[in-house]
Amino acid sequence: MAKKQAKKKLKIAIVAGSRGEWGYYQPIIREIEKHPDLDYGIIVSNMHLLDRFGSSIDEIRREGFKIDAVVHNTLDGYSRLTMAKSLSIFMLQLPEILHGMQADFVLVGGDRGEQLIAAIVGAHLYLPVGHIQSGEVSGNIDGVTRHAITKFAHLHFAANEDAARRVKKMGEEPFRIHNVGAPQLDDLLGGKVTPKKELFKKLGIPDNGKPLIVVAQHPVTEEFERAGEQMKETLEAVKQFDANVVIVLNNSDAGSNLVTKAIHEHRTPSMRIFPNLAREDYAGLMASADVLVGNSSSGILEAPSFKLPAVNIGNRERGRLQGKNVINAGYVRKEIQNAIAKALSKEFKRSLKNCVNPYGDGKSAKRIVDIIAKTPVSETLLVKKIMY
Amino acid sequence: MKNKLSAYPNFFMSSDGTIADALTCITENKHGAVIVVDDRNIVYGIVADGDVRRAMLKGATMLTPIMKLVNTNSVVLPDTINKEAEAEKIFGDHVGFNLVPVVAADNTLVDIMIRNTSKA
Repeated sequence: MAKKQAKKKLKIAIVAGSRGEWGYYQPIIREIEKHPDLDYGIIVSNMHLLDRFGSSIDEIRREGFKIDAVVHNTLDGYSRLTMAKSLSIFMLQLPEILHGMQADFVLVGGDRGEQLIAAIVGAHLYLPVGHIQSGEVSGNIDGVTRHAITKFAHLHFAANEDAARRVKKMGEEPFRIHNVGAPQLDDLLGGKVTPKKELFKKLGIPDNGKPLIVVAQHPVTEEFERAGEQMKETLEAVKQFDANVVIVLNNSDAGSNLVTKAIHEHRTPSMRIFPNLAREDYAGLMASADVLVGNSSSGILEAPSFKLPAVNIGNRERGRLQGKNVINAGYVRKEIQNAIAKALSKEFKRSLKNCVNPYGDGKSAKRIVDIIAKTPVSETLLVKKIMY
Repeated sequence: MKNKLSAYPNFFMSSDGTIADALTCITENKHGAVIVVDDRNIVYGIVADGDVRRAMLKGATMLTPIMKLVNTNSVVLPDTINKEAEAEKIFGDHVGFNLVPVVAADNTLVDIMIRNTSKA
């Protein structure tokens, strides 16, 4: 009996770098907490620690999650140079952090640089690496990063059939690939959504019956010199509508200074601007909005669950499996304006009545955690065979 | 337009500034708040002394970038309307407001409406 109690729980190191993956992690951590054989510790880095992006680490702390380490790695400047250099700082610290926290498993998510670094370090330490949201297509350096993570990861959690097939084509052994759906939907479908009335009061949105347009547009790394210009086109298109507008500020990628500048130059006084929103408030916005405009992945992944039309601008999310709610547009204001008009039309809204989210049913976190718990950490898992 | 702003040197500051810069302006202008603009004079918002106090209680320091606390949803007036009358109305409705930026169509700061506090 005593022996059994002494058995160490499998400790999962979770690498949290930005709001993006935090959406997947939250429901997974809750499932880990329920599991008798599993434990976790969060390594917080990058955007979560930056003042200008709302210091979302406070949100993690408020929820009472266990933070094992904090790595300030992001250099100011937001250029390609600082982005690349910031990763090296993370890599420098991570091996000792994983060692110190006695991690048995490294869980990464999505397609950001610090996630790749964590996968590289985990694989080199012979720790199994699990990758959430593997096999997706994203249109820039993020996409390359995602597929590079696949090569270092031992378990692939794909969000849909399309993505799972892509991982298999990369030569990964079938037993490693699991189509689990997208875990960031768990929270949303699980019900943590700020009600409309409370949300409008909190964000200062007038309850005047006008349509609500939410803008969330990030700079695309390859096109970062044009990020300001692209934001301008979007805002000029949005201005053509008699609507309430909420702008959710961009992430720490290269070009974000240009985007911030463009927003303040081209906003109207009634547009509300928020640098970071609590998850449930963002979900509330999606539940209350009439259209989501920009290139945030939430338009592709999460909006279909709210039957929310999404105008998807440019290349960032191109090539990903899209629900019926998505209308694609280029960076030209007229194109964006036409897409918004279509999204706001009664016919389009009606066509979304039976909109199904291709990214799953909101039960992914439990699937992921069960797979981690029942996969033995063995040579079979740790030594990868290439299937091509 | 420029000469209007030069009359109010401590009522606006750069978005690259820190809490220390904001406190210097607020102390000098005696109106409890400062407007934050970028290098092209585009208005980003307002920081009031209460914003600074609340930020410091959460751990901000004199060197914290002002962009961390700027209220990007503050009231502004377009320069096309009767701004004096509008400003009086705003000051009447909101006891806590002492400054209202007046902006051109491209959101550049062109004038500042200031509550007359000399009688108080």
